[in-house]
Amino acid sequence: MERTLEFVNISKAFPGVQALNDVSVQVKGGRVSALMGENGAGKSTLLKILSGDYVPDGGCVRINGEEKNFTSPYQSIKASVSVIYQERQLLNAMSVMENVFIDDLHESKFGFLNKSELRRKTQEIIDSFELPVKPSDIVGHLSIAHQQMIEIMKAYRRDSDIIAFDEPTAPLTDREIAVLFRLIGKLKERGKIILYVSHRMAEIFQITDDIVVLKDGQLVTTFETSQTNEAELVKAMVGRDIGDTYAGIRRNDKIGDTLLEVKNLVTEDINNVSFTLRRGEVLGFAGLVGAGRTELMRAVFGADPVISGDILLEGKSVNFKSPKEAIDSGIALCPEDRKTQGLVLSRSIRDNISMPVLPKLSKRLFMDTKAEESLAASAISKFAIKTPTAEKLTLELSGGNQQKVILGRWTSNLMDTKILILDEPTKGIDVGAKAEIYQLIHDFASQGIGVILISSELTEVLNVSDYIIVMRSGRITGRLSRHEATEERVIELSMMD
Amino acid sequence: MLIVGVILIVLGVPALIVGLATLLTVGNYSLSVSLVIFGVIALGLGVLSVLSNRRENIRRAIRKVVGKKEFTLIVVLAVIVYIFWMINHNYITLFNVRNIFNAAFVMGTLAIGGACLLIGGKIDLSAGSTGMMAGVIIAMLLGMGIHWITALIITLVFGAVTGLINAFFVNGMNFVPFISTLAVSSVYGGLARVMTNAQNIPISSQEHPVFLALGSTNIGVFPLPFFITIILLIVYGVILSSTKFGRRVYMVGGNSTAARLAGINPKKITTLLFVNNGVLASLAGILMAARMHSGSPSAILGSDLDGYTAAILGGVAFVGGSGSMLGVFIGIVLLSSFQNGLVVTGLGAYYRVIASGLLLIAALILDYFRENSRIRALRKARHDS
Ligand SMILES: Nc1ncnc2c1ncn2[C@@H]1O[C@H](COP(=O)(O)OP(=O)(O)OP(=O)(O)O)[C@@H](O)[C@H]1O
Ligand SMILES: [Mg+2]
Repeated sequence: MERTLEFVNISKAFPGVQALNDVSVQVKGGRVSALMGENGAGKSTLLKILSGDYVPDGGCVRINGEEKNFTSPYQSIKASVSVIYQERQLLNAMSVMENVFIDDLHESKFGFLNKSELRRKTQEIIDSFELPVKPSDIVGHLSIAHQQMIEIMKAYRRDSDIIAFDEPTAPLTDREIAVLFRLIGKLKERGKIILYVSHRMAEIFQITDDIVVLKDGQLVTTFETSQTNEAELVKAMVGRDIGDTYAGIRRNDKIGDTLLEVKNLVTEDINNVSFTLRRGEVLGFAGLVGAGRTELMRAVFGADPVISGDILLEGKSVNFKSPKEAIDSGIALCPEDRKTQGLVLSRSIRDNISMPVLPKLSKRLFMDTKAEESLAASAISKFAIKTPTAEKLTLELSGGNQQKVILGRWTSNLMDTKILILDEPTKGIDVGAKAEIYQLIHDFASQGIGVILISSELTEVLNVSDYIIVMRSGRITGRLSRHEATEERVIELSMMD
Repeated sequence: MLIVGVILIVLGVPALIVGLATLLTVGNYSLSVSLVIFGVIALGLGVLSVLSNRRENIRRAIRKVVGKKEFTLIVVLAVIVYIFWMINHNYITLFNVRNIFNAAFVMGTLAIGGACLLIGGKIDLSAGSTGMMAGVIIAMLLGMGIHWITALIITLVFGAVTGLINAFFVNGMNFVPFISTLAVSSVYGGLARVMTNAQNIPISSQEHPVFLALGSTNIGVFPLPFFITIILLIVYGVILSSTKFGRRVYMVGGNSTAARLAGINPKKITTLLFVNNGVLASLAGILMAARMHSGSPSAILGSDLDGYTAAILGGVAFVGGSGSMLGVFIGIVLLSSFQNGLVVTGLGAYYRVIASGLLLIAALILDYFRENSRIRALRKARHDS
């Protein structure tokens, strides 16, 4: 029998927003169905209704024709549904195996954990994911990409009939993505229903069979993937033509003198790295997970200790002992993981944006509320952050809109930025907004700011940067100009030993 | 709507005036209190309905206020006060209200420092013992004939040093604050008893009349410590809500990693919060000693936990990153009125402890309903449109 999943007239409201409005969709087993839409369109909300996390205000879910009204994730899991959330839900202090088997810890007769059994089963799953981790590794110590893979393992292990992925590839690099797609292919062959959310267009055309498009909480249309193309899809999502994302960038071509020089830098994770960044340059960093790109930038920014080596800012030797010193000297770093390193989720959009510029927002003793409000308002309009007010808690924003808040913070006009370091800036950002961010990067560059761009999306690094550095295991394995760089060349360098 | 509002105002104003006037002069409390309550409610509703009739933004503002956690708490407070007053009219007498506030100042001062720490994502369980030590120390210093101002300063410095010690354990050694401050608390608790042989150390009223006056002077009808607590609440409220330091406290409490990467120094904030808490705890201990005319090695114990209860009642999140001094203030008044009410209505002092727990649960339940009704209202609004 063919499996089916139906969303029937689903509605869901949050204070000030109608996240879903009368959405009806049907998807079938043995096919990968994409859920597409701009940031805040309601994709994650729909999946959270499927997982029983949110109860819809109206409508219902039908599985194989049978009406289900999940009121808790437990019920949904029992009905053979697994939803992998956009934000990781791991226990950081626990081991890989305890996380993977969290809802099914094997117990022996006496109620003790059967560790050896647990370890063996976890190892099997790790092998099929081709990951270099051990069942006993503590999850919090793994890289964010590997944590994401553990999150996926949790759902994979349950072998559910319905599996939903909410932006699984955002923190992953090509190697893990290839493994993931092979696994999804296998699940599909076994007739499972697969829902897939992603803002990466190439993936959608690579692995999905159907596409469901949402906009502002409403169903726009559905496509069969083979019957449509990127332009048509983007138009359905955004509601207008946006043209070619990369070709449309008005690039900065005035590259000036040296701004930052890093010489023989050694840290716990970085082995003898040297590079220079010039005014107006967009310097891309490519590499696989664990290549040390993030760690290198953290060291430059004063977030991690430097063991040896020199950092010269405008010719002067600097040694930042804290991010504060780096910020005061004009360096801004937009961190890789919005949930752990970027946002204070329990605070508002406004509070999050003003964080690094509080002294500039104070008049004598007190905060200048007017200035602060206008700062938040300008970020909200610059990035089209979807929110009713600047007071909304960042916790309540959709993933992509949270990312926009962090970008808004680090690109605000109160920052005296000389060097802007962007670590995975477009993670979770929709197509339309991505194009605007690329333009913003080049606008900054044309003001003489040096931009460092770290991205796991290879096409992004290749198309946006002027110059590309490839890293592997804490070392630089290649330097290419924009014209020399091809995907093959960069992949080769990033695997080189 | 407008007519109703005007009528309510017309009835409310004289009721309030007559009520207040009789409350302060005549002995018939039950009548005057009824009048005051009626007057306040009528006047409030009247003004609100007149205003909301006029302007949409005021209607929205009202809805916003009603949606706030603090509003729920004020309603709970009103209900509690009314019930106790019904049981025993002596509950709302000047004498008893003074009692309530008198008892509240130690807990209040500790609640302020504790709430700041909680908002900043930390906790200090040594505040009670620090206050107790401060009482003992100042009594001993005064006994040695040291001038009271010098003694006061030395004792406050003692509190600051305690804060530095706590901060050192947490920042420098990476100890969990819950454990390390508990250890400090235990050390101080024992030390206070050793230093005093578990006896109260009297403060002579001949030698130190000015110091003792700190605890017994009344300004108007209320004692000085009460005003000190109120001033502290206002000052800390302003610091938290409108200065960059206050903002940093919230951000560090919400996510210290993110705060550090955004140029805030979490260790500095933590240190300041611990020092501040130590100083406030000492202040509470000093005022307590002044009021009791002695330094006691058992005073204040447990008041720090009451302080945390009040803070959490007032909506300060245990995990850090949210809360306000207005909430803390309401929490303090709520908890102390409830505790006092149980005594006044004859249930006895042992019920105080039970009271804290029950009240906390009640507040949580109300909060739950408030959340729910907000969501229902939204749903309804959508259907209507
Ligand atoms: N818990 C919540 N409280 C309040 N509003 C919420 C909550 N969760 C989601 N929203 C709002 O609902 C809308 C839809 O959010 P959702 O997370 O479904 O978007 P999305 O399509 O997944 O976007 P993205 O691509 O950015 O992940 C957004 O405007 C968001 O702000
Ligand atoms: Mg989402």
